[in-house]
Amino acid sequence: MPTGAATLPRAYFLRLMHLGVPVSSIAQRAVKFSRSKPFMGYVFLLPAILLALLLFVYPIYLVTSISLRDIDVVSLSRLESAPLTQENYVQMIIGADIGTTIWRSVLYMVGVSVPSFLIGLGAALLFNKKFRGNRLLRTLTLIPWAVPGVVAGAAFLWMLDGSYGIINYALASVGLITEYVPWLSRPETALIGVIVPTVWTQFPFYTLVLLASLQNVPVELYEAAGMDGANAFQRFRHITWPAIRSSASLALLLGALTAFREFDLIYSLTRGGPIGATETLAVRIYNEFFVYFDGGVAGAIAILTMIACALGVGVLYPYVKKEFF
Amino acid sequence: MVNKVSKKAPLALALLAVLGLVGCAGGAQAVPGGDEPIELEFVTWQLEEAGIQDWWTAVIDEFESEHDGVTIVPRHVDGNDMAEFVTTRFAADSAPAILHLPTEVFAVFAEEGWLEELDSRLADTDIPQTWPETQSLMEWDGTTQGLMVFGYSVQLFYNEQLLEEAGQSVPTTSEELVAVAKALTEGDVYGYGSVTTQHRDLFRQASSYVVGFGGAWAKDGEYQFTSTEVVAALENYREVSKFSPQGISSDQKRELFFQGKVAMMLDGPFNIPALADAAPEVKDYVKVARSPFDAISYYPANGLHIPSTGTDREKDLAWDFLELSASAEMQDLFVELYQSPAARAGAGSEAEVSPLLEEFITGSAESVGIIPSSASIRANFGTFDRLVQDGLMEMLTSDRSISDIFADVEERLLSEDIQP
Repeated sequence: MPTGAATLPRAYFLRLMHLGVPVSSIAQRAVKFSRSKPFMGYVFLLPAILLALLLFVYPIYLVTSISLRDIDVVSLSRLESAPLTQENYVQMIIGADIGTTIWRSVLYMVGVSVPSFLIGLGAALLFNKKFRGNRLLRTLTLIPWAVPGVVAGAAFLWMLDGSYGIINYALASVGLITEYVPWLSRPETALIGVIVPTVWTQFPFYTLVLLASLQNVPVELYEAAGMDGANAFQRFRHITWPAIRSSASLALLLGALTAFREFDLIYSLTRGGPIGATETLAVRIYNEFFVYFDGGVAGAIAILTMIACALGVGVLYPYVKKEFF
Repeated sequence: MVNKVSKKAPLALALLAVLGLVGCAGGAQAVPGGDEPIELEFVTWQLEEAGIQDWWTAVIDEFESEHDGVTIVPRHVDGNDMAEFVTTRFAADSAPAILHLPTEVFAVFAEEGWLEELDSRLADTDIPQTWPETQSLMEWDGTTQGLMVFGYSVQLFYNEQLLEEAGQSVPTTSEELVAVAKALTEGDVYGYGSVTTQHRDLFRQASSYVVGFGGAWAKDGEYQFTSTEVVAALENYREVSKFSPQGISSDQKRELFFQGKVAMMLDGPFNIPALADAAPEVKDYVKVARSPFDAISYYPANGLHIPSTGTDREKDLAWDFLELSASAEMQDLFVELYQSPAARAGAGSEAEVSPLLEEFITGSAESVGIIPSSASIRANFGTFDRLVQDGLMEMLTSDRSISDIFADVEERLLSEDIQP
């Protein structure tokens, strides 16, 4: 019996036994045991269920509870004794300019996802070709994805510096700007200033997923299309894109969700400023709790964010499911 | 035998898992009593700061030598993350035994009832008689809940060489400050270093101008954002910031000054110990002059506190730590190591200090505090600070009139029910 056989599904062993595949006596005993005592299956699952409750359900319960309590900041042991209220939600809707924050989050999500996807697609198409140094370049391309947001933030903080930053120097050198721009401290440029580093950290994800799909496309299809006189765009449109469309849909969904919840990179660059220009929902939740010390409103916005993510997935998932599964 | 084990194993595993989870959730730790060894966590953002880190180490060493079996566990938390760290620890009912807090956020925690009242303990010491008037900022709801550790006046640091090369004299008025900053700005060297990005020091720096021009953010129950003094102060701030690197925080400002990229900056005495790490071509030319404003601003920076959630033994030991830090011996050492005025009156009079400290010592006597006294502002300081910062950032990044910008800030503050 292979290691861990006791945790494999019972149907797996039954099917093997019916097919006449020799299964060790220990595995057979495990199947008989689970058939005779179904209760034990639940016992086996109990640790996993408890962990799931602890790590998933309890935090959601906690946030929901905070959002419905009349509190500023409070110790968790006293949370249940705080009076219940709907005021946090009312406050969030009428007093917290939440529409602007949602719009900013959507803008950031789209601003990150579209360029990341296009750059990732370009890189995947490039790495799907055979050329010298391909493996090395492919590895280097993946590095930004592994860099923690705070580290990337610190690096871009200097690169985007308004007086000595290398990005200003490069743009001025090629004549794209006439004077240095303090990207992160001007409300009109700050969102671009946080989108650029996020794209840098996210595009390798798309490269990885799309490259994996591209490598499954038979070369013969391209050869046949070439013989039929198809140009590069036609080959992409009629062979490449249909082959990677399903992976691209799923990657875009996951990437967009990641961007929508992004916190550490934005916070390390601007803390949501200036004048709230980069305060997305995730940063807003943090600021409400730890800057304005308004735990109730922070909880209400967290619930709103969770609902927004669930709605986004709910709307897009059928399409992805159709494409992918 | 195998069968017996395999039948009982999952049950035992599940039971262990349940017990383990329950044990984790229980949380309550046994607290050593009597003379048993005990560890006290001390949280501060100053364990990596030149000068003051040596002082904290000295206080901790002395405390541990006086208290057998008691270990202070110092924990460094970045200043920007201090409020988050402390809030989280209080929320989890696991507050550090000794707290070091920026004065601005003290009231937020006091309002929650998280800090211990210290009046009865203070009454047995000479602290009420020897501490500056700003110790009153440690009072909340009629009781004292902290011990002021450090406050400082703001003076003008300048690079003598850069001023001489440009043929400029040290500015003595706000108008001269702008003119000299303009004259010194050339190429990649800036005449003046100013906080020009959204940062907690933005409010503090702007407050130096406001107080320096004889104004206040709030006075006699009224906001003063559009008063002549405040508008003139902020106009000066806006004007001189044009000759500063854009988008920089106070840390970047100091770094650029010590690299010789910035010629002047208004700041506190804690920069003096940091001079040791300055570029060699800058170090010898750094001088300090009186702030060029009519009044000198004073920032009552931080205090020590004892969480009300600790055990009696933890509170007693934490108080011993506070009392030791306030002792004449330790206060003398504070001046010597941090090269900054100590809270205790007359402390460090015999200490070897840098000549750069002179302006700060004389300045402290005549300086004016920058933190508004309104209880509503103090209890909601996070929101107040952020809204004023928003106004300051709009001021620095647009041409809109200062009166209009800050009339909006006032309206937003009042709509948040933050009363002056």
